[in-house]
Amino acid sequence: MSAEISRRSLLRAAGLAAGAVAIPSALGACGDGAKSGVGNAGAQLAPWPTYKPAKIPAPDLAGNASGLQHGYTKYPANLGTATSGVPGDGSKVRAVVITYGTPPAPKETNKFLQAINAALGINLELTVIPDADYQAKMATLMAGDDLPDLINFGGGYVLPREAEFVASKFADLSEHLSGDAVLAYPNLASIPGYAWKGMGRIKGRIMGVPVERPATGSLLYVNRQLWQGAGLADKAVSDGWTKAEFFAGAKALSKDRRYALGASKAGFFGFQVHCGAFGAPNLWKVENGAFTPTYATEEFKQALLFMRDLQSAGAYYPDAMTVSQVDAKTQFAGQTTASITDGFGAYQTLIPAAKGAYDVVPALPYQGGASGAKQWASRGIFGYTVIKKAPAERVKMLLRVLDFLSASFGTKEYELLHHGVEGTHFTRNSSGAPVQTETWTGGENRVNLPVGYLGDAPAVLYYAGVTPAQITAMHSFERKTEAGLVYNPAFGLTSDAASRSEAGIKKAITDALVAFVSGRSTVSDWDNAVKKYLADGGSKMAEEYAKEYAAAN
Amino acid sequence: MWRRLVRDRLLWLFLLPGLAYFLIFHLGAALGMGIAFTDYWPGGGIGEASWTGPGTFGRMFGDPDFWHAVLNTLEISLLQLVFFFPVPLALALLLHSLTSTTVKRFVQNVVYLPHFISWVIVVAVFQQILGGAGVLNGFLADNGMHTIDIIGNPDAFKPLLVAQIIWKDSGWGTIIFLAALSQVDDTLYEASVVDGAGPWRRFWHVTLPSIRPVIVLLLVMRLGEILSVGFEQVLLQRDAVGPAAGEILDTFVYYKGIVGGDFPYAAAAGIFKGLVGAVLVYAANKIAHRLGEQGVYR
Repeated sequence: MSAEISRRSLLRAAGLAAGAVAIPSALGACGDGAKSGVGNAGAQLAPWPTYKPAKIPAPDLAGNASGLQHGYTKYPANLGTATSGVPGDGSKVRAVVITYGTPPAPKETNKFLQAINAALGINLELTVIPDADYQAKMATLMAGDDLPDLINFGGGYVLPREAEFVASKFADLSEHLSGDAVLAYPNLASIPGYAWKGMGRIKGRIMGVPVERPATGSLLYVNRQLWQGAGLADKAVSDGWTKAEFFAGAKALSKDRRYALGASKAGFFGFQVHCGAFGAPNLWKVENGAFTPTYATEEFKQALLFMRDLQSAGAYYPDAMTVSQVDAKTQFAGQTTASITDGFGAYQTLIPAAKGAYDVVPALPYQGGASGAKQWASRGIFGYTVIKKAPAERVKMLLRVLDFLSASFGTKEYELLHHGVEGTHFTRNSSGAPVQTETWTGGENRVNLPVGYLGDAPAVLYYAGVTPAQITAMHSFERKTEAGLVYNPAFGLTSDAASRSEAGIKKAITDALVAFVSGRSTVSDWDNAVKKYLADGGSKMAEEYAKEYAAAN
Repeated sequence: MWRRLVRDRLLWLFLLPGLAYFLIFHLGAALGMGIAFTDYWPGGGIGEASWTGPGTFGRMFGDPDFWHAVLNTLEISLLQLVFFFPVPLALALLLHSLTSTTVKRFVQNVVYLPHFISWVIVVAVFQQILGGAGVLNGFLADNGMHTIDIIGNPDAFKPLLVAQIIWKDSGWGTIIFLAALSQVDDTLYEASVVDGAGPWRRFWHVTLPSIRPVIVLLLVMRLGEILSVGFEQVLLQRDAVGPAAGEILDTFVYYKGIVGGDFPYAAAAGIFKGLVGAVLVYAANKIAHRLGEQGVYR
């Protein structure tokens, strides 16, 4: 249970490095032929898993199967069971996931982990990688040959050669999950189709299990009382602002060491929200089968110009590019900033963090341009979990573990995974809803023990500590923006060029974005950065996506 | 030879752990440089990589971004050499001139402390004070004065780096100078006082010549690291000013290799950095010898 490198693995890494010179020269002539691509075009496609929704308590606010969540204003009175028997075989299971919390307490003292281990019937050895170290640690993990049983690739990162790595080192799950085979794992069968498609196939095969997320992507959360001061809060919730209203309000709010727009170096001035509002395509545009990156569109440029105006008007937190997303949340909670851009699921932390001092409401996208007021959709997943190559029995056992972790809302399994052990991590209020104890809020919780990133139920709108009125407001936001959701046509498509170069060129284009919005570069600098993006791999990606798209549709 | 080995076996035994460290983690790891000549990628393993020859170096030398990073690194290094390198020396002289050991010990402890604070904290403190929403600008704005743009201003970035390193490490840097100063023969001072030398003459004709070998040694070693200017410090602040002002060779390698997955390119840049350092140390050492100094080695 640690993110540290053991002595053994260090020595192994050194040995690996020592072998680096001798072997390649011996292999000299093998060309690229041995390494076939990761694309799906031309490959025989394993059918997607059959969708069979689980029996869940009737929601108060109905969702649908395309990413609108079910909402619950009260906790279900009677919990069902989602699994039968203990999924594990008592063996040790090593897993690697990203974390946004602090390292969990060791299993000797961690009652939450003990309870999960007992329920899963395994001895879970979880390595958590802090968000900030994710890329570096994962590169080291990929370079070593000591792979864990389960890895979740997620958190919005696309690692270089991720698809190739998964294809070469992890179990092909197609025979276990494709078509009706998935019905052996009823909770995996209840993961909706868009999540599987968002994960995508590699060489036509199903290589992982997705951790589902609702369709709504990043949005602007606002402090209702502060924006009410600018006379705008009601309109943000009812019909959305015009561009001019938003600008004037943001400018007026930003004074006396308070700033209208909170931002962090992870969010690049919240460009996803602004570019969505201006009607820019969600990362890729497909038109007559041809792909164009959003960076090369006029709408994207217009959004950047608008963000630059906001920046020079002093509406952004001035040191936005020095603060982490965690710090940006703290500033929003402390009302230094009057809004923050974050993922939809962030309501679970942003609303309780206000401690009732102000209301946190989701702002509808503003009318940015002619085709504006659009909301970028998410990939439909947080990430996906892969299983190390192993005998079929072990793969099946690990799939049963993931099946347990994916147990849906309103079951005993879900309650254990999301709320902990009754009496230790939660107590019940008069209506039977879980109330977090100090053990939970003090650190023994899902944030610090992020098993939810290995497998999770299709997300519903319910959270202990968020009131029914707030749940209703979030659901109404999802419903109102559903029609205007802009999907990324490349989600779920696989491209060799993307696998090789996307991680690198993404850094260059976001650097250019930041320089432009900060007022350090000109429109022609931006245009040049876009040209470089296309030349360094963007065009190749577009070509390959087009081929993949044609094969998939 | 063999007899000497047997005779000094205890000394060799003491050396062994250090030797093993360098063999495994420096020499052993240095063999990994080989990946610069292959198409290695982390998930593929060494065995699957194929030989590509020196093509990666051609790609690197033709890349304006690479040269830009080298130039930034050299600029920062030069600024550090001019503005940071003399500070510990001056501070050491000042400390050395203190007669009260209590005061001296106290000041020494205080100036050492920042060295033990991690860069994350140091950078955060500088941002809290000098940032657009920081203490300084808050004060200026409250008093109706113009605010000054330091954090996030590309022009101020390099001086800011030097200021941070002066604050953090100049105290720590005094240790070697203080040790050298304590070696200066007191009778020399006494003799010069008898001859009527004032404080400045004593410094110029006694102190400085006595510690010159140490200064030259440190200077030569510093030249070997001319292309290393504090990876962590820069990585933490680069995004605020962008690559034009803030990309150094080490962050460039990080983004190419770790983030971008182009390990051969990153290895090639590492080799370039190592070679430049080695050549500079060799040349500077030669020059030191010409000037009659000991240098680092003979």
